[in-house]
Amino acid sequence: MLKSLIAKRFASGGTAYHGVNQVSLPKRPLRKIRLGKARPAIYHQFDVQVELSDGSVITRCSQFPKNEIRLIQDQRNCPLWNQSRDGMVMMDANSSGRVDKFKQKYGSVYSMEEQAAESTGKKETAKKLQETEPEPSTDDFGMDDYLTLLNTNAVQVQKGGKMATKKKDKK
Amino acid sequence: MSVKAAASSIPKAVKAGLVLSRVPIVTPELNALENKYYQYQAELERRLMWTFPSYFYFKKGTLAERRFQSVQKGVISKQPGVWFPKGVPDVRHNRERSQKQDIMLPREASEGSNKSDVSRPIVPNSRTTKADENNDITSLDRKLDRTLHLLVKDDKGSWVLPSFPVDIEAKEGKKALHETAEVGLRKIGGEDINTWTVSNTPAGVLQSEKDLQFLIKSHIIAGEFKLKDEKSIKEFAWLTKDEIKKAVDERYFNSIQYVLAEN
Repeated sequence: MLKSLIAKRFASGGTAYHGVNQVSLPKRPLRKIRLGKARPAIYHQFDVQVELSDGSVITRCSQFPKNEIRLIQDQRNCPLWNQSRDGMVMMDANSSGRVDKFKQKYGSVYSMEEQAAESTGKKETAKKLQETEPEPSTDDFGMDDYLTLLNTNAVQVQKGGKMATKKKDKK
Repeated sequence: MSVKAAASSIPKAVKAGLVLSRVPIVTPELNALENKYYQYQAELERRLMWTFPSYFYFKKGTLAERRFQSVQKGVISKQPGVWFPKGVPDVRHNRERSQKQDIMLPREASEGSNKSDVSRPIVPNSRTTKADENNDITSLDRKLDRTLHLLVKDDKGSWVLPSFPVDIEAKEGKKALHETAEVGLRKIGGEDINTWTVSNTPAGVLQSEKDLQFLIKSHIIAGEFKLKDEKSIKEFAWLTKDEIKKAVDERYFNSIQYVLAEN
């Protein structure tokens, strides 16, 4: 009784958080599981032979209906994991994909990388004019665009429960 | 008492020993019991698997769906007035519920398949290599499912772990044990080797009358050991623990066996 009263007091408090706290998950499934009726949830899986780019074959399970998968871009020819290997032939798995076709057609007009490079070029000229201004470091992916998004006029997104707001009374 | 004696005695020479290992490349061979166990578990899992949602992977009316359906073995459905010796069929969603579901996948046909063809069938590689057949103990490609350790033949003609003297008296440029081991390995084995030293703390120590040898653990990641220093080292070999037991004398093996990998 007392406990519920306290809980109510907290719940009605002005600063109380109405989000995840109030969701209570049932400790056991609502449906009664009878003896011998429990069945584990196992998706149908196939045994797959995966051939990596260096010719080694591994066997694994997959839900996708395919017995054999041949990879051309994987951990065996990624420069990140093979730093001591030189003369590695890099294959682009998306070389015949839609993105590549688009690039072939329109060049780098709409490419993010190109834009980033251009912006850095502009910045370099600006830097020549005034050296004292510090500028954020840029990389190949044009990450500086996102960074500027983060630090100028950034407003925290409110997630979860709605705050109680006073409604304007209409006149 | 012995510790006191060791402390009070004249300082011995210090050596950095190197336990360089190549980790297994393939999974270990299963014994009969393990084989049975995994087979049983796999079959059990296959029996308990849900019905394959073919509608999810094959759109209705497509060529892929037709190809998939054409290789499926149909199910036997219940007929009135018919005796079924293997029990009355219980078919739901085109699947016999009392048995595991066997799905046949259409083979991607490739006419005139040659070796370089991209659509050639994938076959697992052999677990034994050429080095195993020739018993080439200097090769890193041997015994793919075991850990190999680097051993060298010293001037006395016995197999030992490679060890390098540490210069304690040096005024400048003193090197730690693990650095000494790394530099020494490059000196005897060439620069074409990429190793990863597990820790700068030694994993063990071998005491003898003349010196103290601290064992540094390291793994070979890439490259290979090519013998450069022919003067002090006659031969080198990559051996498993069992082979090391046969190659070295018993006392030496008893002192190093705990730093060697079991499989």
